[in-house]
Amino acid sequence: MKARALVALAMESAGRTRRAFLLSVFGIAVGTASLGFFLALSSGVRAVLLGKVFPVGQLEVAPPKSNLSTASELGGLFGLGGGGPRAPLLSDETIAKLRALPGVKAAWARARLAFPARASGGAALIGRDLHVELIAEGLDPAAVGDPAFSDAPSSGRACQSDADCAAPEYCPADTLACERPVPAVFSPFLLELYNGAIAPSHNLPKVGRLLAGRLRGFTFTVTLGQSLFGRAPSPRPPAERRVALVGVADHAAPLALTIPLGAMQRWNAAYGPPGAGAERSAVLLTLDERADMTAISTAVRRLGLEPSDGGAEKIGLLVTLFTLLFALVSAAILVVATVSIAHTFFRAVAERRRELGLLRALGATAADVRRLVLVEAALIGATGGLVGLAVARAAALAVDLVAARALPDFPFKPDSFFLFDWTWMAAAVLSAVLASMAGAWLPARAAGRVDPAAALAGT
Amino acid sequence: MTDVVQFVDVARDYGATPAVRGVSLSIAAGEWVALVGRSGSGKSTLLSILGGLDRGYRGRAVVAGRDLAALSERELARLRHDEIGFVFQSFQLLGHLTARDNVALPAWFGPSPPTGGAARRAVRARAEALLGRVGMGALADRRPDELSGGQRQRVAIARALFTSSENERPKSLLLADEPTGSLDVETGDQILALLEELHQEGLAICVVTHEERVSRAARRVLRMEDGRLT
Repeated sequence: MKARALVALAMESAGRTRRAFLLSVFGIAVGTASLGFFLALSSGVRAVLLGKVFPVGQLEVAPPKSNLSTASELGGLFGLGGGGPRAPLLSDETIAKLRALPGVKAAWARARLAFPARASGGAALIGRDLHVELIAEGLDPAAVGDPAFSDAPSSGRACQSDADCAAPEYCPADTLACERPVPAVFSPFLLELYNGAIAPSHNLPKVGRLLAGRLRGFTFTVTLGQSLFGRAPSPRPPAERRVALVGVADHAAPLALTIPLGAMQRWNAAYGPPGAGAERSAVLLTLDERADMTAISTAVRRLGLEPSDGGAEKIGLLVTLFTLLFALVSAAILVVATVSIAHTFFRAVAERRRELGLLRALGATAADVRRLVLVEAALIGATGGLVGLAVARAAALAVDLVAARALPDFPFKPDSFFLFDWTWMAAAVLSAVLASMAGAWLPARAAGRVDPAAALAGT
Repeated sequence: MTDVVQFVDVARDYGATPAVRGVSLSIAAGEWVALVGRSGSGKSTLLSILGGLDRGYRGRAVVAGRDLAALSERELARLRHDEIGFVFQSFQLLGHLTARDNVALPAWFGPSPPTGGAARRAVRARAEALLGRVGMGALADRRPDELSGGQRQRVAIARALFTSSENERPKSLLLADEPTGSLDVETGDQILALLEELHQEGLAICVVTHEERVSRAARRVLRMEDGRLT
């Protein structure tokens, strides 16, 4: 019997046993809906967590904590540290070795601000000036890839006021030599943090990513050697410098303002502890998509360094575990539906014994009868799977709607918590079909074994 | 005249119990045979073997020129579809289908199942023609529970006559198991008259019955007792 004929006949049969058909479809739909819902939820959460909060595909490499002096750590945190001279822990040679590791696309040096500093400004952007502790990092300009984010030298022309300098250069009061503002970028994470936590709590306007792009050229002042907590131990008096935002960069430090590495090293040399000017605090490695993270981590440790993926691996594992858990729950529902379908089909085969015998008398083979039962089950699975997916999609929309209205803003709050990857969704429908057919497998075999003569004789 | 059925020493046991013992018979094309006997005499078992529904027999069974034992299951199913029509005491109509769709049911198992619109229309037209042939043309849209017993049996006979293609030759053999068993005398007589018409048209008929008037209608009566033809 041809496949099309089987499907057409199965559809007629399904239409006849509408109640049993719909009950079976309901069971499968519930299982598929939960499977689709949780798969989409975990995909959505994974996309946000691993795409934005803990980006995958990059690895930060730093010297082991035990190699850093307490002063250096403090200096890194608050810029108040002193300490004696230190040798650079991440030399050019080490960085070259990191760059040469298999699976590493690029290696970019970072240096933390090693002395106290503060930033002031923002009136032009948010209506009033903010005064905050400056937390900043220097980053190899190649990591940003924006020509505006460069460590190009300033003209150094002697000046008495800003008017003596060609824009955008300005005239610092301590050097009286024209200097261009230090370019800076910030991370999407910082933007989210501001929009999700700082702006709502301080009643400040939010800054969208597009708007953030328009911040290019926005300038504010930093006071080097003087923070909100105190002065740097440097003999040099605090000095003001200007910083110009050039945009948002994915590789910028998550929770710090990012300036070109050379500028940071000059600042550290002037205001930081001895030797801080040459020090790199970390190296950011970007990796190939299929890079062997374990092998790279091992190679990094062989170089005496500590790898850190920023929690991406743990978060990824956590999300995977939750996905597996939800998938198991959904699979359990599908198994229950499968058992229910088996029960339904066994009953149907018993009730339709005469009919199956008749079909054999009219020219059906035992295999035709078996296949007919299986195709009916596949129809139930496909219908249940599609209905389940529609329900999952509707439930996801409802959850997103409720979340948008009821949940307060928080960093990285997504527009949707769900990501419907249609490959996975097709797999969910396929699993519904397979579960349904699995449930009907034994009943189909029983149907194929019905003795037509006995069935028609009613014995 | 060629034989539609040739059985030589056919036997069938159910476990240790013999149901049919060494039956040899032949039915000529267009012949009407009645198979009579008491309950448990083996006549229904013999009918199942004749219809290719029971393959657990011994001996040689040839139907429509095909040795049943030599056929694969698919070939046997095709033989049933093409050559043999079945009529049952309890009609065996599908309750969810109209009379027309019941008659057309065998088309699903033929060489060209009616999956397309045009094919379905052709099959329905053919089913309606057969319903007209048995006097049921006006009731093609009725479901079995809307029909009387005699009307249901007429629908069942129309289904037994259904062949997949208009150009295909008619079936060779009609097997009827107590075709009037569920009907009153008058309706039963109408069914017998219909069978007579089919016989006159050249269809071989084998009727299993324990009713005297049915066996009288047949041209030859075969009696079975304790699994043997007597």
